[in-house]
Amino acid sequence: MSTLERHWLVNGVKQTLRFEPLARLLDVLREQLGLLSVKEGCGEGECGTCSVLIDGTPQLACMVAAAQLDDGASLLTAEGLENDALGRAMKQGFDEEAAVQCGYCTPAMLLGGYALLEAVPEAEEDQIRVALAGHICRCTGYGAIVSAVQRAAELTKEGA
Amino acid sequence: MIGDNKRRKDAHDKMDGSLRYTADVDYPGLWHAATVRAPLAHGRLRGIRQGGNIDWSKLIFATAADIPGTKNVRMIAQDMPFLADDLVRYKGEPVAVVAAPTRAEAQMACRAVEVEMEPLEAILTLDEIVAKHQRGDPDLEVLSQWSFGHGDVEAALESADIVVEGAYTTPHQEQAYLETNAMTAIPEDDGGVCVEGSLQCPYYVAPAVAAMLDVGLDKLHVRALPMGGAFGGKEDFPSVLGGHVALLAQKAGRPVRIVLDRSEDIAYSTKRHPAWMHIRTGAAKDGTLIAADIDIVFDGGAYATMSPVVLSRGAIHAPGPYRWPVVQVRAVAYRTHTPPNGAFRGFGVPQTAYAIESHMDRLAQVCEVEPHTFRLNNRLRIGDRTGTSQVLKDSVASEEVLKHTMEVTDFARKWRKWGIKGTDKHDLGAPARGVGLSFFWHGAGFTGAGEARIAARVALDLVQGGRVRIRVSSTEMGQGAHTVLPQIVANALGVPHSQVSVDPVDTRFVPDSGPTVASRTTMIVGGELEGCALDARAWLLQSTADKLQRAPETLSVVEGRLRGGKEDLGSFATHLQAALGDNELKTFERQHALAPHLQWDEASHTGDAYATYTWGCCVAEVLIHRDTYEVEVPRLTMVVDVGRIINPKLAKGQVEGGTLQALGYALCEEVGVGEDGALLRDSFQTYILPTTLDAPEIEVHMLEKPYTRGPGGAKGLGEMPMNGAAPALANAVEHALGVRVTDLPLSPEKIFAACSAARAGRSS
Ligand code: FES
Ligand code: FES
Repeated sequence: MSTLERHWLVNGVKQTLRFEPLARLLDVLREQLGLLSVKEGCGEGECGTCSVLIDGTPQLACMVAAAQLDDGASLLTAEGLENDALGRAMKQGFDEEAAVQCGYCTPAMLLGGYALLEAVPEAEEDQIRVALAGHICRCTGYGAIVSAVQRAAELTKEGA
Repeated sequence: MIGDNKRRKDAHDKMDGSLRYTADVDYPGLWHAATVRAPLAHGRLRGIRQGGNIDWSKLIFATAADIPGTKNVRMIAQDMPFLADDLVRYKGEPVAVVAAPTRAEAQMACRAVEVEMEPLEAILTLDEIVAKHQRGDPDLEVLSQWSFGHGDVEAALESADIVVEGAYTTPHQEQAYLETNAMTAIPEDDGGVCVEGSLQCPYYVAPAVAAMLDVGLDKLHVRALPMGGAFGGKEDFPSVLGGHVALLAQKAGRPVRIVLDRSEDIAYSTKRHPAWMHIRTGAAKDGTLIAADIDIVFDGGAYATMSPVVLSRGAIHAPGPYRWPVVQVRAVAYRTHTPPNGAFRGFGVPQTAYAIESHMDRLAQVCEVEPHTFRLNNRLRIGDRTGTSQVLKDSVASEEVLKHTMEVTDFARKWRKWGIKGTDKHDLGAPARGVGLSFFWHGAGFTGAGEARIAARVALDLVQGGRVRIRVSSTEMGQGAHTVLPQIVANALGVPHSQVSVDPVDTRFVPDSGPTVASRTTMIVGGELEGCALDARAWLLQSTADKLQRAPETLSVVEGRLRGGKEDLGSFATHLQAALGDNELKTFERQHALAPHLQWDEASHTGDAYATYTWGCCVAEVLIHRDTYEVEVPRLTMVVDVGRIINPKLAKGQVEGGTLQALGYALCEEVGVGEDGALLRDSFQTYILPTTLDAPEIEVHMLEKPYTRGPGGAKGLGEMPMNGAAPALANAVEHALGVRVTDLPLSPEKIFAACSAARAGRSS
């Protein structure tokens, strides 16, 4: 099989990747870039733990073939959240509200909240619940996660 | 410090992906394992053939014949083989394991193995064993049984004004931790092996795998890595996988890892036991309880493994937190040819709590007493005797919990207004509205003499520079143990939380504090650590007092500083350095012993089943859509007594999370067993877990009724939240529609069927 080559912007850094045509984005990110915040929970598009932002939109890295992303695609994983104010606010919100338990769902939840607040900075509880409906969390009961996103929204507003 | 919302120590590393779970750790030369599974639920193995277009010389293949030592997994019962040898007892039972450079290659090789079996008749479902149980069929294989109680139940029921009888059933439940089971074995230079992974109980895995390899514990150590959830599902099962990878790693002379994919994990790892509970109760006309007779059947699955202890805990809690002058409980777990059932948060209690709390509502109804009053009148009190004849001596919060629940939920008013018989006018266009109550308890720590047998050991190191390090075998699965235990120590020692940490859990370095189960970590392990911290503090103060020529009782440690009254004498680190002299550290150790007044007889299940209990109430509000029969849950309220709250936000998170798992159990989670013995719903597409949109508002109220021997008064917490929501929801559905569904989950189909049956009954 021929190897493909792509140039992406991953967490703000230019990367050149080479992979087999059928490689899952999940494996490419984990194995080639060591982005281990991208977790496999089910491998079949049902749990949301592998979600990453592609050009700002949450996508399931277990369902996307790396080959589907063109050159110039911009990806954000939880490793990159430290790079901007909203990302930091999101993490602070999760920390303050004790929204992290086992942490397996957390990186993708952070990204889901981040994408929502980028589009809707003052998102209400039901908007948050809808935005995160594709993410399973077995630990928290979700209440703390919703509060955390609300807290991040507050922090961002204060900081703005 | 106790009672403060200290932030989790691992939060940041979990948020940016720097925390390493098992599948994240890289080893040079690592190979990957996969499992060859039996094609039939029951039968004899006739042949295992390595076929296909595979160069087997390039892979590692192992069957039971390759196991050098003990072939069975050491657990509570030691009856399950690592790899089936002759008899296969469930579909998918491991018969061989393969290691290859990649997971895909290992899986492909497994598919090329032909397993030949001679079929035997299989028993697959709870329904089958219950039918046989009722007939007294001698075919049934008993995996475990217990019976206990006091008084002549037949005579007491005879004398009762009111007798109510009912049967209740519950299904398998999958733990559904988001990180699937994963284990790695790494051969070490000294000829030993390290087994690491996603596991709750390092001192279960170590002896099990050592015995399998036929090596001493000096040649095998176990590292428990942080887990992406466990909930009991990584209590006993990791010993099996640990054995598989250790066997392969030894043969291959290189590290080998297994990571289950989701469908394998659901289909073949342990689940909550399906259960059938038959309850006969008698009461006086005024609603005073007279007697209970309870018959319990658990589907143990193919091997006994953890069933004896799960069944025991379920049975002990089966009469509920009530005073029964006469009570008899008989409980049995039978073998079925399905994967072994095991530990899952609540450990047998969610089943029996659902049964007794459904039943109590029915009994109250017949006695014409409102459900809350019925519970308040009959609740256990100090000095009362439980089913195991334990006399309750302290920390009984039954009254506080019930009364607080009534206050914060306004239950009585809602109960009178809503529901099919409520005073509110019925609008047939609107969903039917109901409210339900459940009242429950949970024994903290191991049952009976369990804690005496474990005799948990803990260690605390005070290190040059002022660091305080905890060494315990308690693992971090998300529950927050590695944040809360330092809080207990920091509080007792008088140093900041940031100065105290938990060492990596490796059996080479940490003592055996027992398994991370049974809501015992904070209470038992935390209690002993608090003791160590107080010893350490006394030692430091004495040494400082000697140097300064003062009386030790005039000195104290506050926020990391030594003080003599108001006078600041310098930092903890400085005085520690002086006290340590040339030593790098000083270690303080403690070992747990049961309080001497606790007595337990295992065979008759009589005596003090638990050192103490936690108490809780759940109120569920439901809206049932009249066209779809779907149950919407706008709000669940949990009122729980946990003795003393160490970290309110983390504690609340435990209650909220457990409550949502219980809601899933009540409403949507069901695995199902197929005709060939396969577990049916083996993906997240078919096994439905609650999402953000299904989760109700969960209101949590925590009460504190201190337990004298717990750290700061704390009791166990982790499991109790799993007990309340299912019966509260069942009671709320009954309240709304006037029909009772007696088997979980409360699916729209079952509610519809119950409503249709009720209508048919009324019109005939
Ligand atoms: S791993 Fe991609 S959705 Fe579950
Ligand atoms: S924190 Fe464990 S799955 Fe969400």
